[in-house]
Amino acid sequence: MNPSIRLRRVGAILIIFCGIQGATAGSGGSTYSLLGLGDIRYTPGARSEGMGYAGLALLSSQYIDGMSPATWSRLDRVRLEGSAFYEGFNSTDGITSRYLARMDFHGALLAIPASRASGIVVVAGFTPFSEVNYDTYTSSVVPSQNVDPITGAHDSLGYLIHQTGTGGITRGQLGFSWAPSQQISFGATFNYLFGTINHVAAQIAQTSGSTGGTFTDKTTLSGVNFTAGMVITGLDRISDVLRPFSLGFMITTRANLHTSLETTYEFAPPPTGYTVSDTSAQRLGRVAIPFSYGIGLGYQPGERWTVAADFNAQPWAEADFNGSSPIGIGNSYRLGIGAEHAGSTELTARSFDRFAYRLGFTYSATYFALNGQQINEWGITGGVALPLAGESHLNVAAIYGGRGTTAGNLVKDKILRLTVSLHISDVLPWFVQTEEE
Amino acid sequence: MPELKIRGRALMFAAVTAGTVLASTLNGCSEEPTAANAPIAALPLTNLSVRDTTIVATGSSTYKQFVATNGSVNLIGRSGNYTAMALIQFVPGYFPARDTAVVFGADLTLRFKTWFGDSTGQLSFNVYRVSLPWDETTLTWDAVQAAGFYEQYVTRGSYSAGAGPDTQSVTISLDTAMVRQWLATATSTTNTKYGIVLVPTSGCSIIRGFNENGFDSTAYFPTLRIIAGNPSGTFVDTASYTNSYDTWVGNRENLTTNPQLIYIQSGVEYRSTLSFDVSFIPRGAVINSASLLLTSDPATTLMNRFTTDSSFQLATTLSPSDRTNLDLTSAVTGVRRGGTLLTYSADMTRPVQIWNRMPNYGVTLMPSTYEDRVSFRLLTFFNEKAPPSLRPTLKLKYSVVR
Repeated sequence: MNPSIRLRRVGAILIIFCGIQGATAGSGGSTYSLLGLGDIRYTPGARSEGMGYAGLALLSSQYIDGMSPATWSRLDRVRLEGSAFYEGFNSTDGITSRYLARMDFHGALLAIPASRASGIVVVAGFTPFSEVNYDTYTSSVVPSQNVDPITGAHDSLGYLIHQTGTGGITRGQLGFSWAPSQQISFGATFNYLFGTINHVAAQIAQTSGSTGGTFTDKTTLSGVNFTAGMVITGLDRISDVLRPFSLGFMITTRANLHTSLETTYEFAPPPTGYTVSDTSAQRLGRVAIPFSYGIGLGYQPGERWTVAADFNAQPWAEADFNGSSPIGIGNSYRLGIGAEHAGSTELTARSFDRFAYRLGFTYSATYFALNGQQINEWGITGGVALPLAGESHLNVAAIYGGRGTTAGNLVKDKILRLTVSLHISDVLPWFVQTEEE
Repeated sequence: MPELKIRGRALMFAAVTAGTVLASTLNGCSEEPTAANAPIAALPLTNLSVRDTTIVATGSSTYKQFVATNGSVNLIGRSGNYTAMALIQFVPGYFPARDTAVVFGADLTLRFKTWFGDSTGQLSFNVYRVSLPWDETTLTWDAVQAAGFYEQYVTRGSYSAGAGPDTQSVTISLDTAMVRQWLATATSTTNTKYGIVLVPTSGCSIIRGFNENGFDSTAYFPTLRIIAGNPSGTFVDTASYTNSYDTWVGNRENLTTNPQLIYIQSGVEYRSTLSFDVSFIPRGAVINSASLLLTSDPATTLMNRFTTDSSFQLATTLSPSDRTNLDLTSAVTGVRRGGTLLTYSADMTRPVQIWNRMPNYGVTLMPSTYEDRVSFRLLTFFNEKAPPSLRPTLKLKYSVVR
């Protein structure tokens, strides 16, 4: 079978699979995602995710790192990478727990090398920036939520509030890399952030003869920022001991998102009536996302071994949501360290020797901060790359970890994340540069 | 090389299969989020406050709104200030075309089934020919009173007798000249087939109801009997016709005499509006319940034997000027709850929900459809000008985002 036909079939199977999963899943995620802009996604790609989200300093001819444009300069052919993302949360408050999971599209990036000699590669695509996905309930029987602070009066109506959140922000990016020499690479991207976030609260009256209603806050957001990066591999000029090391830097500018908030009210009808709806006027606003930066260290002790460590940070305390600091948000940082054992490129190598294996660990202080507590997250990561045909491969990254605490009436999550990405290269022959070119 | 190809395919198949199975399995593990398994956390989720209050009506009015009746009973007669006229049109298509036929006799048979007013009163009415087309589903009192609707000065029959039993059938002789014209093929402005109207005379002192076409046994339908033959009288035939359109229209004068009352008058009809000021409820609040309480005035409420229940209809008024613009799709029924003065209640959740987002034109209280079509029942309620304990109140429970 022609490799391109074979890969198209694989691609089709994955797309159908992802579509079915996406349609049937969606039951919800972590309640923490109701804060700020939701769960901030760090999407460097399945390779980096398998290595503890490290890779800012790793130049690669095979992988597109969505967070570090300077790492693209070694890409030597047209590459397309599309990902699906599975995320499951086992959340507990110390008494009750449940497992909610869903699968979703995780972005796609297309890299087109323009000049291999100058390391000029153009990359465009979409990746998630944040995601809101929670589904929980509160009720009128919780005294802290239903006692008037002044009069001390309780609600006279028993009810539940079904609280759900959906949506998120997507990052559309267009960027390029440039390597003026073999020892240094630069990269920059223009990022367009856009999306819609819905927070829905549906009151369900528990008293006979009473009706409830639904409040839906729909916020649309859009804005731009820029990312610039640099990777230095020529450290041997300082000392020969540093030859296997590389350094990477990345900074993303502050983004000002224009927002439009619209609230829709839907009142549950009396027994024989129809729903009454109302929509508020659009309220325009502004959300400022603070800048972020990252520093990475790469170490390549051998031809097939790579070790990387990254540090990323974002001063979310400087975020500005319509002129005020958002509730439950604080500065964040992420540490990641990981290693990769690349697959053999020998044609006679055994199957499992042709796989690339990755392992890593990550620890982060998320930007969620409630009741004076930073919500920290840790994760053990692993991954594997399966060569499919030619330069194409299937990457799987898995992260198991936890975040939060039940102390202070908070929620503790155990998290399982799976990223499956299909990396296609040689089915795009019209972009492959020939020797003559 | 073939081995490598086979190995590659096997790897690909294994990878896709493993991925699919793994993801499906993991996804299948996801639970349904419910109130029971939701972790409770001190997170800034949406919070609501439920508030209770009871308010009193701020305004009211009563107005006459003629409606089409066309119920299961047709009324005819007069009692006090109430007047009812009945109309019957035997379907012309059922008559034979006999331009030369001579009508020797014609009569109309009605079967009474109820009465209203003084049971010892006298029922008397005249029959007139209708000159204009009409539709039983839309005809109202004011249309019948319009000049030229019927021939007011040519009596085509008459009836006068004391009130009999409900099962009584009476026969009224009709003008044979008029009936002969119903058999003719040609019509004109003076020769119409629009039927007849029964108009109570000044001496009438009872209102009676008779069976209409379409309800109960066909034997009880209004029946037209025609005895006709050829001009020489050598051939005479008697035929009966029951296929008819029929309805009634009613009126009541000088109803709204007490400023402390609102009126819901069936048959005519009179409707009332009631206003409450709910502007203190923030826009977007959830109206959990809104219960209207009305106190009826037993001295003026006029129940009667045409109806078996005592309900009324309540709908949101959607226009300050067009009184027919009502939220009828979600009308609710007000029902009697008891009490010495008889308290009625109605669910006003939807009207208050509507007022929370749209201009507040109040609610319209009107007879329920069934009563409208068969009776002159009158419900009166105390309004906002009555003593405080008798005024209409609205008991509200609503939720606002905290």
